[in-house]
Order: sequence, then structure tokens, then C-alpha cells
Amino acid sequence: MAVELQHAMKPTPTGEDLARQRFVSGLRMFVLNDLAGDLRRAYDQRVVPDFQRDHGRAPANGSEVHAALRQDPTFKTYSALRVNAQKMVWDSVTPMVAREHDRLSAVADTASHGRVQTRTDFKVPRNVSAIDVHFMPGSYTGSKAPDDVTPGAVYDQGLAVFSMGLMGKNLDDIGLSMGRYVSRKFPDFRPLRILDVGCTIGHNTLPWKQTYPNAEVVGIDVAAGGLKYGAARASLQGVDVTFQQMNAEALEFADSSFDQVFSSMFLHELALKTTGKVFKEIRRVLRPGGLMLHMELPPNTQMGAFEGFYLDWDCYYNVEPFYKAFRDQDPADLCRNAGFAADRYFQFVVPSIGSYGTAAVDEAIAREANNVNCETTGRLANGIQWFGFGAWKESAQ
Amino acid sequence: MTSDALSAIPEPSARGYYGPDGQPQFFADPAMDRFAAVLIKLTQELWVVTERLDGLERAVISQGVLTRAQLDAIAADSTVSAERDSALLAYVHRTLAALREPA
Repeated sequence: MAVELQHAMKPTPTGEDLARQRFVSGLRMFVLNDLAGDLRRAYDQRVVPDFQRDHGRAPANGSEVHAALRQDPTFKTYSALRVNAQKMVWDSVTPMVAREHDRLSAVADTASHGRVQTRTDFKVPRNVSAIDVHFMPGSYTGSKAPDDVTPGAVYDQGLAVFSMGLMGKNLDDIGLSMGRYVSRKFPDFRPLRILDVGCTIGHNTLPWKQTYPNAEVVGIDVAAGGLKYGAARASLQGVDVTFQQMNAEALEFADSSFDQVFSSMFLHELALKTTGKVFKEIRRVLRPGGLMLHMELPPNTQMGAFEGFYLDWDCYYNVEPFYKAFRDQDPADLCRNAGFAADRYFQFVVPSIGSYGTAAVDEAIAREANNVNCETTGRLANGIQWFGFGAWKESAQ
Repeated sequence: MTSDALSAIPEPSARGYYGPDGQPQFFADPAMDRFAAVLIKLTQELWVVTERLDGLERAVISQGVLTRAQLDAIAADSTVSAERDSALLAYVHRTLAALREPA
């Protein structure tokens, strides 16, 4: 259910705020677990038989699943509730952030000092500035000054309501799960310099410092306010990570300057032509033998028609317009097109460390878990498992 | 859905998925989608009252003002049930007034 954040950048909620937030988390639990199950049953019991009667076969791809489901009452109620629950996530947290804006700004000014670099002349790309990404009012940049902390605070608080507890109290379950996976799967790999691209408020950047305490960890993003908020958030939690405002399409780092480049839930918010540039930039800044690692939604090419469309719902109804085009790509192709050798590609599914525990992650490593076409993979609901893929840059000869 | 967002979706038929207000439309009449939003918001507001009342009741009990049994006895008090009945009827008439035929 709604998470109470554990750091000093947290605004103080009123009783009404808490009740509203609890309701939204509970509503989302109901929609994403119970109604999602109903949707699957409606699909199997009504939608597929109707489609078969008309076409002599089951829906073959996500578009056919979508068109058929749109006629079904269960899809309509599921979708209407889910859209409203999403909007209510932000509605439930913006009042308390606005009320405590001045205090949060003052704390952020002090706590982020020396830990974040932003630029006044920075051009925020249109995939962030032109749309309210996942209905977030003002997107990641907000409507105030470029480095105003409001969007960061709204995102952090909103994620705490949105995630229903499934991302942990510090919203870092993805980073912790990935960190455990990589450090156990590749025990000889000990990165000393790690970059997190598209890090927003750094909630999944911090786990890399916990995983590799000797590493220098840097997070970059295009939204200055989120970085400033994230730098303060990290500082107040005593985690030594720095942040820079930068576009992943044009990294301002030297060639071969990082051992690992990571992203989480980032690539699906980019236009496809941008993704290719980002991969090439990542490859450039990786040292030979370095690791590119992405946590993302699983690809349609490895999922059934229904399972694939279930995730693509966000593309149509949650202001994630780049989602499907990204998910239609084969991640191995994306890596190969950027110059990574085909045999250095790998992918995996890791159980959420918060939901399943460390032993389950270790067990998934041992059996080389790759259960992509699974109703818990990539779905933020009970039993969530995360999809990851990556590639090693070839070593210097 | 703004035209920027819509143009990024790789499916021309997606244009039919949004109402005249640009918001996702699932029901045959876009007004139904708006009413769905109102209904969910009202459910939320009812929960807010429920949670806050729960807080008050817990405070009353923990301060030693009343016991849980006494609170339940107040709820079941037959001497006020007639007053509650008329209050409920007034509430129903007030909230559902739009359903009536005009006089």
C-alpha cells in the first residue's frame, strides 16, 4: 500500500492527504490485481471465442487483442478505473508538495549543494517537455523555475502512492534487485565508475553505491529540478552520489570513462531514433570490458499477444506514446545495432528483491531465469519480477 | 492526449480511442467516462471520511472517553433511530434529486 518515504525531503501529510493516498494505492491494488485477473478471464472466455467465430483463429498480435478487447465491458471498466487511478495518484500528492514548497526548496538548496550540476541554457527534449508523461502534471520539468524541486517531490511522493509498496520504502527495488543480480552473477566484475542515464530523482541510482561502495556513481537526467531534489534526497540519506543535467543522446563524458552504464524504466520514454543514439553514446563512454545494463519492460517479440498488449495499454491510455514502439524492438537488435557483439548480449528476469527476498534472486541467477512471457514479469502488481538486458563491450586486444 | 503524444503512437486507429476532450474514451458515450471519474472520486471521498472517523473513534477510546461497546451502543440506540431515518431520507432526496421528474 502507499509507502511512507523515509527521508527528510518528505512533506508532512495531513490526515486527509494520507486517507486519499491510501485510497489510491488500494484502488490500484484492486485494479492491477483483481480486475486484471478478471480481464484475463473475460479475454479467454468471451473475447477469444468471439474473435475465433468471426476469424477462424485467435487474435494474433497486440493490435488485434486491443481492437477485440475494446468491445468488452470488463476492458472498459478496468481501463476507466485505471486511467482515473493514475490521475488520482498525482492529485493525491500535489497539495502537500505545494503547501510545503518553501521548506522543501530551502532544504534542497542546502542539501544538494556541491552534489548537482545544472545549466540555465539547457534545452529539455520534447519527449519530456511536450507531453505530461504518465499524466504527471507538468511532466518531469514542472511549470515553475527550471530547477524548482516541485516536479521531483511530486514524482517521489507520487511513486510512493503509485507503487503500492512494491518498489520498497525508498522506491529502490529495481536498483537493489538489479544490483544483487549483477554482483552475484558476475562476481569478478567490480565497477569503479558507474553512470545512471535518465535517473530522474536517483531512486534507482543510489542502490549502485550500496552494491559497489568503492565506485563513483553519477546520475544524469534532462530535468534539473528532479536532479536537485534527488541530490538532496541522496545527501540526506548519506549516500555519496552526484548528479549532472545532461542529455543521454550527447554524453559529456570522455570515451572509455565508465565501467558500467545503467538505466531503469528510461528507454521506453524515448523516441526510437533517439534510443539508437543513446546506445551508441553509452558504448562510447564504456571502457573495454565494461557493462551496459538496462532494466526495462519486456519486449513484445518474446511475449504472447495478450501479455504483450496488457503492457502496451500504457502506450494508448497512460501518456506513454513511445512505449509500444520500444517494446516492439528486440533488445538484442538494439544492442547489436549500436556495435555490441551479438554474443556479448544477455537478458534475464529477476524476482523483486523486496517481494521475494535475496535468496530468490540468487536462485534465479543459478537457474538462469528468463521467464519473459509471464504475467508477473514487468507488471507492477503482486509478485512483480523485473526484466533486464545488457551487453558487454569487447575487451581491448 | 495531445497531438504530440498521439503522433508518436504507431497506430492510426488510435485516434478513435480518445473523446472530444482528448482524454481516453472507453464507453460508447464520452459522458459515461466523465461520470466514471466522478464516481471513483466520490468513492475516494467516502473513504477519507471513513478513515478520519476511524481516527476519531480510536482517539475517543484511547483517551478513555468511551469504550468500543459504548460507541456501538450509540450506533444502535433505538431512541435516535427515528431521527436517523428522517435524516437519511432527507439525504437520499437531496443527493438523488436529479433523478426526479420536474414538478
